[in-house]
Amino acid sequence: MDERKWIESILAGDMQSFSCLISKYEKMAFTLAFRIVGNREEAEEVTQDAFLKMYQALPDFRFESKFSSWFYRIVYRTALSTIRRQSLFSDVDDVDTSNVTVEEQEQASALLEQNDRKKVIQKTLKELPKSEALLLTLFYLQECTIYEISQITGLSNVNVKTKLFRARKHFYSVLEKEMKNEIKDLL
Amino acid sequence: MKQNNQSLDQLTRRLMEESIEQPSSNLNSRIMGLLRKEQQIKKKTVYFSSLPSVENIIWGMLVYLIVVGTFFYLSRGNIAEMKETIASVVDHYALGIVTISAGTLLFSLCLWMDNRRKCHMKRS
Repeated sequence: MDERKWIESILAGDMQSFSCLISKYEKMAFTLAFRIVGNREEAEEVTQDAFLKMYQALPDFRFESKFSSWFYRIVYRTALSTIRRQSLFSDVDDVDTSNVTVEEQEQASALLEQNDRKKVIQKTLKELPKSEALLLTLFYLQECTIYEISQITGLSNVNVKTKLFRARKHFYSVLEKEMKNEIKDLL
Repeated sequence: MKQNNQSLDQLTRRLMEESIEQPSSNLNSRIMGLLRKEQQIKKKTVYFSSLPSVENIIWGMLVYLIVVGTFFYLSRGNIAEMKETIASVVDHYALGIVTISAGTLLFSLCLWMDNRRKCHMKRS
């Protein structure tokens, strides 16, 4: 059953279809909320609220955009109101045009061979500013396009691209440090 | 350069696959429970579909007063007595009339607010 049919069934009063929609999106919604609020309890509350808001707003959804982008925007706004902020993004960014170094890239590739990489990656994402962790999650994990991210966050396309580039660079440099620390701890 | 960027994107995607967070296993049922609760609360809320016009309210009050007047006329049947009765009614029931009028107005105001809220909810 595709999403559109699920939504139509929900609007016709079928609660089971809403449960299916929750199953499909709960992990992604929770991950997004967790990136913004930073702890599991609050992230679960945000996820709950976002699903309830989505249910109430569903009659107004016109299929003009992707359902996922529309819903992630609800999650994003709900999480922001929990941390009492208008936006995660600052207007002025430090200009960092340097790319990921070969060494950083090699270290990251080596990480793929390790069994405990999940822990290192989660630690790395925690070290990053929330806005960068969110952009990386939306682009690389949720596979949103630049346009969809701009719809979710309210940033311009150019701004999303710039911030994403910077976030990726930052991710690799922090990852490299984390891996070095891990090796130090092992020794 | 472009190829490097693409391979970097691929690598980042593979790394980020590990970053998905797992919510509690009962999150789905908790959300469904909350939703059912909310729907029950909603069912208890009564909305009036339309607001009676001012004309209708005035007519309603006039009809009410005529019914009351007729009742007293029929029970007493004498104009002189009737005048006296009206005076005593006004004297005794003035407070009641004011209260009823105030109640009617308050009811109309609540209906108006209710409809306004409903329109606002529809719009948002």
